[in-house]
Amino acid sequence: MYNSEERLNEWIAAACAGDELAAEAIYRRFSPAVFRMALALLGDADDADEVTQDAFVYALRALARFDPSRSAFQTWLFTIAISRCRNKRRRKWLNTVPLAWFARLERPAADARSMEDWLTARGVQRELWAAVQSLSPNLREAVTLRFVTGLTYADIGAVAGCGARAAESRVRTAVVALRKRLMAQGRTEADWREAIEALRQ
Amino acid sequence: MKQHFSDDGLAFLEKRLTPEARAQAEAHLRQCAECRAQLGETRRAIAALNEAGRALGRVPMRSGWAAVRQRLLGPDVFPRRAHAPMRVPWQASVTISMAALALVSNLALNPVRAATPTVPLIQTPAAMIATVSDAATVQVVRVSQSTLAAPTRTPAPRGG
Repeated sequence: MYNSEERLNEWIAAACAGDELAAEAIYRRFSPAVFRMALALLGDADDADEVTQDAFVYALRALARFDPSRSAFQTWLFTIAISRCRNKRRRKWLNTVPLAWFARLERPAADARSMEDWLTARGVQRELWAAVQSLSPNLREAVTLRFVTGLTYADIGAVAGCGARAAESRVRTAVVALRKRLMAQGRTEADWREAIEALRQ
Repeated sequence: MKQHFSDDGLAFLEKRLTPEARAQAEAHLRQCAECRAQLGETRRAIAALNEAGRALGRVPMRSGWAAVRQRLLGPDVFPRRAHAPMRVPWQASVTISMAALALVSNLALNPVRAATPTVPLIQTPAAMIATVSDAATVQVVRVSQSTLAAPTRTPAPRGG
């Protein structure tokens, strides 16, 4: 039986041997998921695009060093991408944060604004996105990888470098924080249904 | 009666409980309105996050394979560094600035010490005598010179 895993292994072997079509096939298969994860974490499509490019350039150059006995290819690729997301976010925060943020001890939300506007324009509740952005970086990463990207706890643990149990604990903490914050805003059942339906359009 | 959900029912919703734990949770939910409400909110928050993920999947990527290919195969292997000006890391610039400041302040506060030879911490008796006698000679010369240059006189009382 010729499954997708075997096909991926063939692509990897061919790309390592210099087959450009195989490299392109790997890119086409995984780049949407990497881009979506970067977009959810960074909140800016241009930044997410740059991180996706950087991650693939690095991964394809280092493809010969990928060891399938240590992790799945997607986990390895996401580990590369999330590291670049962290660097990007850190650099952007350092570049854009005004001194007033330090005085008020608040988290800058400038990098999240464009995505917030994009989602709001499609009827997504601004509160949900703001609540996700208000989480600490570790919790935001964990909840994004779990519910936006759809990784398992074992994969989240491997990508975030914290182990499956810690990943589960982070997701749990994040969900409790999100629920409390959203409940405090007094959403009704009808509000929720409307927001979720808007997202499906 | 089982205690309230400690994780907002996440494990329950993700179907990760053992059959026994799930039966206990369901029995608790039938009796506890608070946990039912929490579970409902958690379920809705997760559903909204899942949908947000799908919505993000509809955002088009700005670039594609061509951009990655160009960076992999093109002449500009590291395009960002090709013409970038040399940058000093901030730690290095802080260290250099502090060293320069220390040097300048040392010269400003102690201009003579830097020019005069240092006296050894341990001196021989002969050297100590020479040092003391030299210092005494200098002192005498300075006193006599100042006396000659600006003699002090007690003003004579007027009148009388």
